[in-house]
Amino acid sequence: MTDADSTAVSTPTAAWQVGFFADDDGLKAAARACRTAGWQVDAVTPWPVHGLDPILGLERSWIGRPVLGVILLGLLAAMGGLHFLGVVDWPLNVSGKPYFAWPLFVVPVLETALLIGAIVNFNLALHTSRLLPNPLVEIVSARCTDDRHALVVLGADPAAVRAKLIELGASEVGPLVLTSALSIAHGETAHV
Amino acid sequence: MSTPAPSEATPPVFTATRITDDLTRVPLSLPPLPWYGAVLNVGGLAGLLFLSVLFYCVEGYGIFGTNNTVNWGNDIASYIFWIAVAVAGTLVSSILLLFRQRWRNAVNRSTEAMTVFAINIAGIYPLIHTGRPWVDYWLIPLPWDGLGLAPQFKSPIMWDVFAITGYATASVLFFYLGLLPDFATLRDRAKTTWQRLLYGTLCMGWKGTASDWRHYERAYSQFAWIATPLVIGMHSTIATLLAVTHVPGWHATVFPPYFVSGAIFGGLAMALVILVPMRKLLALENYITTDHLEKLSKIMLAVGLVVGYVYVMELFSAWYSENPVERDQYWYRMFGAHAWAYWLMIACNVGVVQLLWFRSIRRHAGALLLIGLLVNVGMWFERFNIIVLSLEHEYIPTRWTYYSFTPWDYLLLAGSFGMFFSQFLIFARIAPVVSIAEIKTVLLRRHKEGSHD
Repeated sequence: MTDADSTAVSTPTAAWQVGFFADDDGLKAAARACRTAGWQVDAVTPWPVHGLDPILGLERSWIGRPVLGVILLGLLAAMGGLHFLGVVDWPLNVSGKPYFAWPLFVVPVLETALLIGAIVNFNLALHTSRLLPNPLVEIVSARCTDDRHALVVLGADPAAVRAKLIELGASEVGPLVLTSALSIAHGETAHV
Repeated sequence: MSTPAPSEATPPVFTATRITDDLTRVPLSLPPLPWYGAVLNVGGLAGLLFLSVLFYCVEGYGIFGTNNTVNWGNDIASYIFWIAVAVAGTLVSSILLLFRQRWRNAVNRSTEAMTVFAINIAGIYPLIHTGRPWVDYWLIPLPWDGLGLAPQFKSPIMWDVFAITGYATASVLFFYLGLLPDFATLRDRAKTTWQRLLYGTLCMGWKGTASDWRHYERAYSQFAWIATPLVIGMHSTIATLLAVTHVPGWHATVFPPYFVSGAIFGGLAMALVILVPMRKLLALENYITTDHLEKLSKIMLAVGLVVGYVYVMELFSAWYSENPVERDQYWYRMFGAHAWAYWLMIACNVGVVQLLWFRSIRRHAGALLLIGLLVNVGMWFERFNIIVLSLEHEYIPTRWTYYSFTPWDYLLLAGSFGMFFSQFLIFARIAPVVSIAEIKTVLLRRHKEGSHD
């Protein structure tokens, strides 16, 4: 597990404080200020906030190269498989075409490779965010999939963190309490 | 049917909560009354598909109009028609994403759904067409199938199997990945326990941390990179399937681009046929605006011109080839027994679409719906002309024949439309038809900047 993956949400402690922000710029400014203060910071947002990753110290997602890799491997494996099929396993003369008629294999090979790439891409997306069919997952607030960004901050002095978050314009501030998604009632925010 | 363009009136004020409310209303509460009526109607139509397929399984392939000369009839024409509908969905979801067209966020969810539903209907046809659908699994190269044989990979039919399965699987995964954050929104606003359980399971425990979003967005754009060559390759493969034969009217190098542009053309027409009634039914005029419909119809006009050009080039190539059979084929198309089908195609695909030059028509939802329907008719007949007319009038005059539908062909075709719209209505009932997370990034920023994106 990398630094970036060990999010606050997966390791809840009462020491974490949460502040809610309505807009992207407020969230980014607050995240930057809290990072500058030397605190540990994470964010939960209803939509992707561009420009937030570098502020939180998150690097670019690493799932590009593995996907490209399996696509290239898929090309080789599929073409190799057809070579085996046509030349080694069952050589069959089809209207005088060569046993290994590679131009005729381009389509199935390309499609197979891209299919493997798509499946790996999807599974990496699930894996990196540890997504599994789980209705009991714990969430910060039901509003974090609606209209509020949650900035989750861990500092040595919780009171100072809360004061700072209020100063930075958070609409609500409090200690982080995770709630099961199943028990969230509509319209309520987390108990902050 | 016409709706005043919201952008021309006072622009609505969007807040994140309002967007969530508007887009989760139908999945989380009861749908509007017309929805039930629509489901009953198209559900009944879909029943015809099952009836037709059931009777086919009992009675055999002879119930359809296909014969020894026209051995690819309704099956393959409709198959290409539905696959083409899927192609346009991927154009909007992937190709427009790669071109950074942010307006696509309003319509990409619907068109991705259109892709998934059109592919599974398209898939029915070749599986029926094999004649023995219970052994269709022989198409998959399984070493344990008892045949001891691999499928023939030098045959374009096999290319097609791979193209369709690859494209269908990737489209479903892409569609589902896009739905994850929205399912999480539905989970967090669910009103009943079963809704919470359902959407909690479907959203895979989505939390929306900054780290989640960064991987998610990367995977999403990679899907666009994967889906774009897949879809172009897939439809080019279907075109090649025809072009590698020596059948007059098929043996043309122009076929792959011809098919891809035709697919985008017809598929966008289908998108209009879905979007115009849907935005009315679900009161989404503020999200799927007249501007969006206009942009779609502009693309449609552009590819429509390409399609018209290809129709002319087909005739020119046949004449220029000095091949008597090729020339005779096009003469037959224009003036033969099925000439009405050819001129219907020309009227719809070349004639009607010219109306889109007028801005007032591009911004009139009702007119777009009508044009969409007519272009769909034209595009179905395009495939009919390519498949049936070429086979009816091939090399040997003693084999020439006239193909006609049996009642079962009509049921199969009508049922496929019923099946398509049924799936779409059910989808609109359980999931947001506009991507909530994506549309917020566009609308909230636009609201803040006070300008259009």
